[in-house]
Amino acid sequence: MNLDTTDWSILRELQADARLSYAEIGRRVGLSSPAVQERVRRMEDNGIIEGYHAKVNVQKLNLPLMGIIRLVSVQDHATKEKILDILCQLPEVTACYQVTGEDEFIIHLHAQSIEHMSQIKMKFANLARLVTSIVIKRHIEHRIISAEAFPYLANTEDSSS
Amino acid sequence: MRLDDTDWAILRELQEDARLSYAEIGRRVGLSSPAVQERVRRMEDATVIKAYRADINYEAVGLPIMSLTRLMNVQGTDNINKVKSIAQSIPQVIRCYHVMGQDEYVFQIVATSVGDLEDILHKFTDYGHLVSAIVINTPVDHSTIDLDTLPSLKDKHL
Repeated sequence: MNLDTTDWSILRELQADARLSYAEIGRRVGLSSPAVQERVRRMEDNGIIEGYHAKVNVQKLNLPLMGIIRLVSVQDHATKEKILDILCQLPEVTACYQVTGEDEFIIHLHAQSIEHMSQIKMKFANLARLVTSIVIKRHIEHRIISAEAFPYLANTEDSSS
Repeated sequence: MRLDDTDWAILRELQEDARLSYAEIGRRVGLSSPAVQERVRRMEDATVIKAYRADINYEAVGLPIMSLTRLMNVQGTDNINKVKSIAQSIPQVIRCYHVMGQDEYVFQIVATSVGDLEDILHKFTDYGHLVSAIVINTPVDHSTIDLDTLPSLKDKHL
């Protein structure tokens, strides 16, 4: 699917505030409300927009500690599967990436305390070597992907389809 | 701010679909639409809810390469601050965490190609030792923080 500059404007607005009404988005990008709705539906159907999520403040929800944990030197496929099974079931794990290189998985984990974090880690600590970093400051999160910041994305295929 | 079970139910719905109408949320949690709106406003004001975001598929918009890159051995506070401003100036850096441990910074970067990624990483090479991994797969992403799965969030642990 090719995105034109209006699609990109709509995407920018929805990334900044997913609860905007179609009418309000329309006002900002210069379209009628049904026209916005039609474009949004098309981007949803084509998997450009994956979902809309409220971002909560984990600190205020009693999860002040964030860890980024690397799972290193996972031996075999069966162990890999076992780890994935465990990680997918842990509600404190909010992201899990499978990566190339020495690390096998990198996860984001939220906990109430250091003790709580180590309890969670114990659930898979015998399956991989763990290297933990504690997040001091989240400088960038939820960066908006816009045509202004990525001009080459908007220009690559400008023909309509 | 103390959250009751209904607040938690509303939070769950909005984390799963931020475009639900107040009326629909009300139907699901057993409240009127204005009552939902009032509770949502309260959670927004208390910054329990930080924002509502559309999540896009990076690959589908032309950014198929995702990397998790660590920067270590950064010398001095000046350089630590400089790295932060560089990261903020690069739109491809979609996440940046200052961390404690072996590493100093962890970046999540999206790029059009491996070459593009290399150009971005180049901007950090003067400041420390970089270790970069390419994401093959994302088995877990944007998990909902929910009282049903994390009942201990109700007790004050601090």
